Amino acid sequence: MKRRFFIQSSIASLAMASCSTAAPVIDKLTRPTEKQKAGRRTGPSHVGILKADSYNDDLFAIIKKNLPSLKINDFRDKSVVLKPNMVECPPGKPATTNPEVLKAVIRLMDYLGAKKIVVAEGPGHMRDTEYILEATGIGSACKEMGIPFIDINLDDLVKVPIPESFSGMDYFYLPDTIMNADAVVNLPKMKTHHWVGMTGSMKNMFGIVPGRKYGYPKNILHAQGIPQCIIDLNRIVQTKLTVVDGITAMEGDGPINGTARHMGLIIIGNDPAAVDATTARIMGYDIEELDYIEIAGQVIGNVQSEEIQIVGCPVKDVAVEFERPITYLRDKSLSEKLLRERAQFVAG
Amino acid sequence: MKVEIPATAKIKEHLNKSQDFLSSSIGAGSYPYSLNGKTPSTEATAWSAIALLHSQPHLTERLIAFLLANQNSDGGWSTGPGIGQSDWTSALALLALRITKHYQPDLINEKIFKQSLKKAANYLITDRNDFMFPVMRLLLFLGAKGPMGLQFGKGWPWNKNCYSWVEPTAYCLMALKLPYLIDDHLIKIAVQHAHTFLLDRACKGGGWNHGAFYCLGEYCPPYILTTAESLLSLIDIPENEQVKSGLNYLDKAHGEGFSAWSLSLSILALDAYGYDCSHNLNLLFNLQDKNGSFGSNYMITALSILALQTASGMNLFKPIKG
Repeated sequence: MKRRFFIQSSIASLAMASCSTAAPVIDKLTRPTEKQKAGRRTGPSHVGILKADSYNDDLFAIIKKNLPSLKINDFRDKSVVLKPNMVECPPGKPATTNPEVLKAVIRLMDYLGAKKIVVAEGPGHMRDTEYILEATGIGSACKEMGIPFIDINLDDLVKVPIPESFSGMDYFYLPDTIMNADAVVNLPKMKTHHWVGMTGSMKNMFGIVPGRKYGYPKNILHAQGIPQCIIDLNRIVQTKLTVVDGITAMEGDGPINGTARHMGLIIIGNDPAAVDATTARIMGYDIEELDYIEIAGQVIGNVQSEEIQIVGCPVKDVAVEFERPITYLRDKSLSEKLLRERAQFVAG
Repeated sequence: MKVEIPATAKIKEHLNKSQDFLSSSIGAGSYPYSLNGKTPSTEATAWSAIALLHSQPHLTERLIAFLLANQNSDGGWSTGPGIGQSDWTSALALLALRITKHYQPDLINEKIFKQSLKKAANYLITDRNDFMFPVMRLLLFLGAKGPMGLQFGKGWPWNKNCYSWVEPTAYCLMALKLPYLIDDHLIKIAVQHAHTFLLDRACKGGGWNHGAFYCLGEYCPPYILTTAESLLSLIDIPENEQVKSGLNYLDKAHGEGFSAWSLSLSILALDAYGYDCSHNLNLLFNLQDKNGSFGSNYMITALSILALQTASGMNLFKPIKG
């Protein structure tokens, strides 16, 4: 059984047994049409895998040292939105972008000549953004750096068509802050994800979808298909840079309930597909296991190793086998058995 | 006309500052969410209408007129005028209309109110989705859940054709129950289903999060805000064990590190159940900005005003009996 169908049927049985309202639709991603492929980035992608053992390291200096090889986009005189992951803040779990990474990227944007920098996020589960800002330290980081934060769950909205949609939706209502920025810089956390395998740059774009219209979590994206919506969002909003917080990552039952895994890495690049594919390989995934990354390779950017020029550490030197969520075990029959047991537990 | 609310001098000072801030920011008869926002928000406008009800009724009248003018043909409201189909904010618009009509009846024309109420209540009843087909119900009955398989709850979604979640369910319950439960058979059934839904999703140890107390082998923790909202929506069943556990969780949380949003909802919920909120009120005072606002948006300032009013015995979220 193909993994996506296995997951779909497993989730359906879990949902049925538990009367869960939370299980999303993981539907088959259709093969892209020629029109859908037309907007794909061209040319090779550069991805930096940079060692940063601790959040106390000078992260800005580590990135700056590698800038010539990374060939990152031009941010001079641009209004830039930095988009961290602030999905929610379970105590003791590394679910969100560390504020030290955010501060380093603020310094980077300033160094690269950005004319305006704001931090913006629309947390996926909790409506109370000010609470999350406080609990994660991201609010303090913004204050310390003198950078405004915008809650894009409650922002003014712009109706944006989705040409050649994968999700079947004709348009999104998206935040004015995102749509009117010159550049969006994505700051995801390196995590496993129980519905789509892993979350990095492209999945982090769910946070730009405004809760005031789509709810918490952004439920319509689940109903329309998570992988499809990831692709649609990343085709509409093409981020100019991704800086992944892979210093303390999350493995196991990510993106919320997993456990910390020290990786000591910053992964950086212009092409979100290339960054995600590289991050996935470091976590021990094969790209073929992750539908949305496989499709992203055809419509967003580069995902094949030979198309990606690595700067810094080679993937093989830092790759490990992350503990996987039970929905993405290599042993599919074990995944199925565990899902059944846990569904039974809820039902009982 | 400004109605005086008896309160201590300190609370009055904070209250007046926040009311002055909110009333001076009304713009063209509505509020955006953000202090820098340019377009109207149904939710921010609805909470502000309730917050200004006693201090600035003429402003509430304008805000209610805005809500009435922007009710969609299906009876619901969108997050803002022209922003897609009706959604979860419909509950908050209805709540504002019902509370305003009850406490300041002259602010809304009787006939217009009745028409709007009928359409809105009908929208809320039909907005719920049923993802369980009859065969699935039978399977539940025979398999996992026994007789309880037929008694599963049904709440409200954020958007049509989506699953139900804790917060929209809590908002809808408040809209149907406050200031008193609408006397309608279908609504009473919907309320019962929603009670089952919410109680079924209470977290282990008390409280609520956005919707899942358990996911893939892990118990999920409650949040302050969703617990407060759920408790306000379940205020007519205070003896229920999940309600008591939720109250216990919220009371013990003590408010440190809370935002103005969480604090104000906590105060409203705990006060409605008869708890002393002086500690949380003091914490809330400390979060007021010099200009009188709380937090980064108008909605939070409106909710903070409502929370401050509890110190003088006014809590519009206590249902009227009888």
